[in-house]
Amino acid sequence: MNHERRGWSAVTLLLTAIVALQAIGYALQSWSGETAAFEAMWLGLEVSEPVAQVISDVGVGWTLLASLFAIRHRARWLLYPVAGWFLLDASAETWMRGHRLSYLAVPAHASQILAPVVLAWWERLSPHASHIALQRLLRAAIGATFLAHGWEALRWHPRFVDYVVSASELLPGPTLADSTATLVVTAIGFQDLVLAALVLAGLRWRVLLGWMAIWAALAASARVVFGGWARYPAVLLRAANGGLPLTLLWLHSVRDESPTTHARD
Amino acid sequence: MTDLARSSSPIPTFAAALTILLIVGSPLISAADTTGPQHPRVVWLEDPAHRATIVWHTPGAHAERPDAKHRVLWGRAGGPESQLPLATKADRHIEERLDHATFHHAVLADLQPDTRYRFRVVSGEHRSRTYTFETAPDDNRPVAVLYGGDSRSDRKDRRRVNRQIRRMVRQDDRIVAMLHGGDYVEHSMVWEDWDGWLDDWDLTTGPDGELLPVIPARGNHEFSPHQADPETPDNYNAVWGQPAGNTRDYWTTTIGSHIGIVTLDTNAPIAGDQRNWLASQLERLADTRRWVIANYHRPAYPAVKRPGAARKHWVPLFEEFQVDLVCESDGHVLKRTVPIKRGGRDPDGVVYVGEGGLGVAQRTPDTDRWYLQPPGMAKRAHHIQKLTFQDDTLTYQALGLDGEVLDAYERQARRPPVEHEEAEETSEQAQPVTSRRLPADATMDDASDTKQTRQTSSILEHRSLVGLVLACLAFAGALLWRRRDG
Repeated sequence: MNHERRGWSAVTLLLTAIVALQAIGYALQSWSGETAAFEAMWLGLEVSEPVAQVISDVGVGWTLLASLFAIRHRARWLLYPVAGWFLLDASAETWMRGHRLSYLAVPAHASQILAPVVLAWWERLSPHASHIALQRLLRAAIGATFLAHGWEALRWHPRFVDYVVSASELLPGPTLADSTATLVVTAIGFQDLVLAALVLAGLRWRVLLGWMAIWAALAASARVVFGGWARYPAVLLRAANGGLPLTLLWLHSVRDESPTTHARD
Repeated sequence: MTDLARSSSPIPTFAAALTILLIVGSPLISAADTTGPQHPRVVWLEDPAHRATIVWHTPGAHAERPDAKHRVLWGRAGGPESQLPLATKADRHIEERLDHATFHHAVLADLQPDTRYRFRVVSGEHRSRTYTFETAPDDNRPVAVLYGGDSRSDRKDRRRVNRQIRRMVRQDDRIVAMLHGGDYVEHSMVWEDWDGWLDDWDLTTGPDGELLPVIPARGNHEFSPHQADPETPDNYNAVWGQPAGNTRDYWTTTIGSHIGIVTLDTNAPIAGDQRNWLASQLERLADTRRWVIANYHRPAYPAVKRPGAARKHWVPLFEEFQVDLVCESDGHVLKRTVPIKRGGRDPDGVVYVGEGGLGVAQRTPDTDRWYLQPPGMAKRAHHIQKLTFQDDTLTYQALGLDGEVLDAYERQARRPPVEHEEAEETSEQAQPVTSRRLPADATMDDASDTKQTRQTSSILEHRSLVGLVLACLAFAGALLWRRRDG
């Protein structure tokens, strides 16, 4: 019983950290530039610039404050609008079509969007409740994110090529040419699609989920390798990409090791 | 019936007949207007003194007979119309069939420098009116180019800007071309957007068909949907005649014997081959051209948004090879930075201008940024920039929709004059590309910094790290607070 309670607390802590980190990253990134929601309101819907800016600032501020406030007060209902804002922002990115793969913005951000929902849902459950539905939600979020990134890689997303080239500069030997980096990106794309398929199929392999967590963290860190330390908000923003596979892994570990849980699951 | 009534009766009858004729006939007239060659335009690439690409399209990919011939009839201007050598053909002709239109790209070669040419395009049975354009000079005489970007969503102002461009070209015969910084249209995949843009671009054409050559750059809204399949054309490459082939969009244009313009592509990978290519080009131009400028879309020193990756990967090269002016778009404001070198203000540094105002709603810039402090500037205003290259001076002007001067700047040459022959000998393209690593301290620092000097910049570059530490402390505090309350 204590094992389950400790595991429950650890998952809570992990999800809380994910939600807080991505909210901080989102706020830092948005306030040093602009949100897709702002651009959609201002250029797409022709809302006046000050009004669009205020709405955008309120949305960003909301995600930050609600995420941090929810840690303290367990006011989990606050997290649903946070997820709603992230969904709105990703949809705006798709609508404005500012880059070649903008149509993948919503699935690519699925982990970011659903992490607050997972946290809110998680805290409604007791340590002994069934997690089946929650696990399915986690798998959907992780699968969508990996599918979208895999497809972007297979479409040779130019920044992905840059990440590989920049990463090769950290290693001894010659820097990779674009053509070689493109081959690497293609391989990464296939890997992401396979990983997504396996997680969506419901496999519980620890090595699978562990590798997905590590790989997503590495991929997020590539932003800093490519653009320098000033790009760390982009890494924080992607906390859920590696954090949700880790959560699922932890959840399985706790449940698998507890003799009382298998019957309920 | 009075005489007056009798005498006036034919007038309403005639008016009614005319009205009916116009109503019935107008679709026919407009239909006739859209079956022939559409929007002929001139594109400049590497060697505009001797080559030019004529691009036009015919509506519908399958609307014409398959055996229809497409030609450019061209020759030197100056003689009477009858002397136009109708039999002359372009040296290369490419066709691209997209769903909405067939695009024709004809490269005119072996042209004479600083010469006005006339041409007509012929597609099947249709023939365009006569247009003219001028080739670039090949000596070091003063010339001017216009620059601007972002014309994607504010059509009314786009048309005003284009009329102003025509006025500027008419008033200053040193203007030879237009550099576009990208984001021509909202949705590059939507042909109607391009069609509207080309309609509006026609407003820059002079009364006698004088065309202003364009040196295009790709904006983020001109993404290629077929990057994984470079053989498939996209609208951007179709409209501009595959300016640098179908696999990359960066090249160097040399104008006269003294100007090198490097066009870059912020949509493509920038840290590998493109950076190496840029290094080789700048190295070559530093020895052979007195003036070197760069043009690309996503800014390294933005007035609104976060800095693009050019800050880390291209800016060190601009500084090393003393690029005189860098043209950037994307932000929807007018800006000019202070001279910048190694992340701080330096009189010997690079000046970044532009940000895009050719027909898009203008934003309020973040004027607190250190690089926009006087003598730099930023404001919201539709604008066109004019760069005039003289012997020792590069004059920059940003002009508003009514020709008013919104900003002006002069920079003295930092490289010695280049002899005409010397420039000719070294103007070959495509030096061997060698891998180039960035300096270890290259970074994209935070766009919202307000640092003024290099010394303070090094401190404030860590502002974002301080922010991270504070955020982590806040997070830890919240967790501890919650734990204390059970």
